[in-house]
Amino acid sequence: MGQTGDKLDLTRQSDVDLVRLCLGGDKSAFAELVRRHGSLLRTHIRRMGAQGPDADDMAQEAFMSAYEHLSEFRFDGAFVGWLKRIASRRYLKKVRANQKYLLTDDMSAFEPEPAANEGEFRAHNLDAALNRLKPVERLCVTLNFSGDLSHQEIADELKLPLGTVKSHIKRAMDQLKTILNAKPAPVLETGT
Amino acid sequence: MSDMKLDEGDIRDLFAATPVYEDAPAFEARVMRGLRLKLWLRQGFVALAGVVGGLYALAQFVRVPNWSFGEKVLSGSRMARVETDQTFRAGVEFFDVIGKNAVNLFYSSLHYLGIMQTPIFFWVSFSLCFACLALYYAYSQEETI
Repeated sequence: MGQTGDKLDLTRQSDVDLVRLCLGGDKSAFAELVRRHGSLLRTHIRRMGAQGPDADDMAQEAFMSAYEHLSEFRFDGAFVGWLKRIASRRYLKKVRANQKYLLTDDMSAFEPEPAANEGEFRAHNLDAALNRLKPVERLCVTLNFSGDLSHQEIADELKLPLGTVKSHIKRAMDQLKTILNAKPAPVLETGT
Repeated sequence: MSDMKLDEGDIRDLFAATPVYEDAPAFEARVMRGLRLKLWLRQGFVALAGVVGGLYALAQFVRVPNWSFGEKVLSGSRMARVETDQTFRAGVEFFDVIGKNAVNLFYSSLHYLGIMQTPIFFWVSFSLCFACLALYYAYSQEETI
């Protein structure tokens, strides 16, 4: 039952059990949650559009915020989903403060940089594909697919009309399918 | 186009896949270090607020009319100087200087004590504390999930 001798084996505990241990004052249980979900959260924030060091800072802040608000976790959903919502809100707060143009309805505000060589682009590389989307589309599709937010919740968070959010997600999905389904160019043998 | 066509479910699966970071242990250590530091700072702030609050409360009640502690010390030390030998006198003079400085400090603080007991000081400090609490509450509500 997850016990090794008289010491609890935290790696074998569920998230819910670890949260309960944390609420009881066990910091090592929270360390286990960080170990378990750290990479997932860092990836989620990166996929929303944050750069590497910023993403890590925000992931750290999200964990610390989660620790402080652990008593507000209602145990009615996955802990990692709750964690992602905290991180998403922190990221959106920063986006709203620094990069308001990302959340405008103007679809021509951002033009993705063309890839230098289509053959160099790795198909099935989701992160590379996301990089080629407009920021607001990337944000919407990541919040929907990775953050598990509904269209309405995304509209509320981004303060955008529901129809706009839906069209962003649809457009992003179409582009992702196109990019990810693209066949990589064959590597040519030089014969040397 | 590739033979394999990705649909929405496949893309959802791609989102669910998490890459492994080489610095994952370092990140975990960083988070826990930050957490410990934050908790330590918070405890320190609470302790400091307690001390400041205690001093403030004390300042509201302490009344020192015609304070004469310094005089007693000085007169006592003068007596000692007369009645004791040279070695002891040096020690007494040393404590005499310390006593005088302490009394001077105390008298100078009485000025501030007077200010702290005025109604305007009370309302200003009360408003500041209330504003701090309101900001803290607003921030915590914003963070609520």
